[in-house]
Amino acid sequence: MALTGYLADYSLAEILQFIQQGSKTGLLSISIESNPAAKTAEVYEYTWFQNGRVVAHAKDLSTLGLISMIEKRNWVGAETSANLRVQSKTLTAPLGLHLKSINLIDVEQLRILFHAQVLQAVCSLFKLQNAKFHFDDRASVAHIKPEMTGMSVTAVEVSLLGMRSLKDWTYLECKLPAPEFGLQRLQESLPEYKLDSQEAQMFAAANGKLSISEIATKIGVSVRKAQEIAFRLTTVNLLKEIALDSPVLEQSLKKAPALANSISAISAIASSTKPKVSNSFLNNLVGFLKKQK
Amino acid sequence: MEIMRLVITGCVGAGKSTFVRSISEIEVVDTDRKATDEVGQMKQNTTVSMDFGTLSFGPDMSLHIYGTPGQSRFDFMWDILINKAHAYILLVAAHRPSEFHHARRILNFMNQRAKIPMLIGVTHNDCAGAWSLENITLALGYLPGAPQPPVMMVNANEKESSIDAIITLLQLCLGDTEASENIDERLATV
Repeated sequence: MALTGYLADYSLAEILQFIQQGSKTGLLSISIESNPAAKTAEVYEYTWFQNGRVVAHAKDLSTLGLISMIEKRNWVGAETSANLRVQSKTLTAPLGLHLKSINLIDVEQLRILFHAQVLQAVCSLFKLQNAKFHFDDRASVAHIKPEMTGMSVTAVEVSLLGMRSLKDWTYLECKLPAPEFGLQRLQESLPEYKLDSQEAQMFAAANGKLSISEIATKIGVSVRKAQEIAFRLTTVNLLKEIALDSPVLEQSLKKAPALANSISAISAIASSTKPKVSNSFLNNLVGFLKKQK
Repeated sequence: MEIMRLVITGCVGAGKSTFVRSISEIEVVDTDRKATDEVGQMKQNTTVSMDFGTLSFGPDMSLHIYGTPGQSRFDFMWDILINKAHAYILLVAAHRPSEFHHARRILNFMNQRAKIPMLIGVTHNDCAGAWSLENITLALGYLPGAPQPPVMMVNANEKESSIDAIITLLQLCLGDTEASENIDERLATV
């Protein structure tokens, strides 16, 4: 089933987390109105995924993007390039691997291509806030061999890179974890990919006992910065937010005077016990509800 | 008097108050107040404390239903309610992916505080842009193939639909109590 929405509602970081956790294969299309006021044509960005990994990115569906990148770098001659454009339609392996197998490009050149085509391009998408997205998990990657280098990266790895480069976090503000929340590691060892020094420090400090505010002090960053790092590490599934000890009721009520009217009801629940419910109670209730339908 | 406490939780506008009203035999103790922040743009009135309803089905048997506040800043309310709850339902609006992150946060919070039977009720399935149950489950952090709670569509405006959700949850509770009674019996015979 295809998913559609706006990045302002469901951020790219969340989409990539979703794709990775579901090991999804498909095509993510992001459309941007270059000038909404003038209703100018939309600009598209296409990213293909295979089993939760990013395998290719392009600005159109011509499947000639990777060849154009190679041509731009003058890595092949005009005649070879023309042949490649013809051959690309019948490729059974990713173009990058094909070119490497016939010694037209080497591993380092493949890395450069992948970096520019996928890592840089997808990271730049994190700046978009008002763009629309459409993820089609029925889209096949079989026909995009000419767009593939043969290299891939996990969706959350590219997400981490993208979020690191993000300067304006305004649209993600409501999703940042609260400073009084704690953090707990979801795995004990560091991931295979590299964390930056602040991320590594936060990962080490996430013991389920310290609040984000306390971690901020410990690693020497502002609380806001710590919230951003925490968001990064939670959306790549390295940490999870946890609620630390609950605030004292009276303190909370002082902060929320609108609740004063409910204090008696709340106190009644808070002070009551929690007896077990019996099987006969549950069976009677099921029977009663069935009659109510 | 034997009482079962059921908590209905979820994000703003997921249908918690409507759900409680659809089931309660008494006029719901409605603590809806005019929201003064950004929440007000989504819903004219939002529950800043809680909704409370009851359903009596015998001289000494009653189901108490509590709807948690929609706004995240009143965490302590959830704390109080969840600690005393026997089961809970998380309502998620299928057409509001912007709220999935917060729903996931509520889920973590609830599951951290209490290990009790729960169910995910997906509302607003008929709205444009509604996500499928499978994708919502994934967005809430349940990996394919991993254990997950029951997830079902709920129309909080329809009493029958709310009843179906509660019956499913009660059947889960019955499984839990039978399992714990079996453990008690085994312990007693040792």
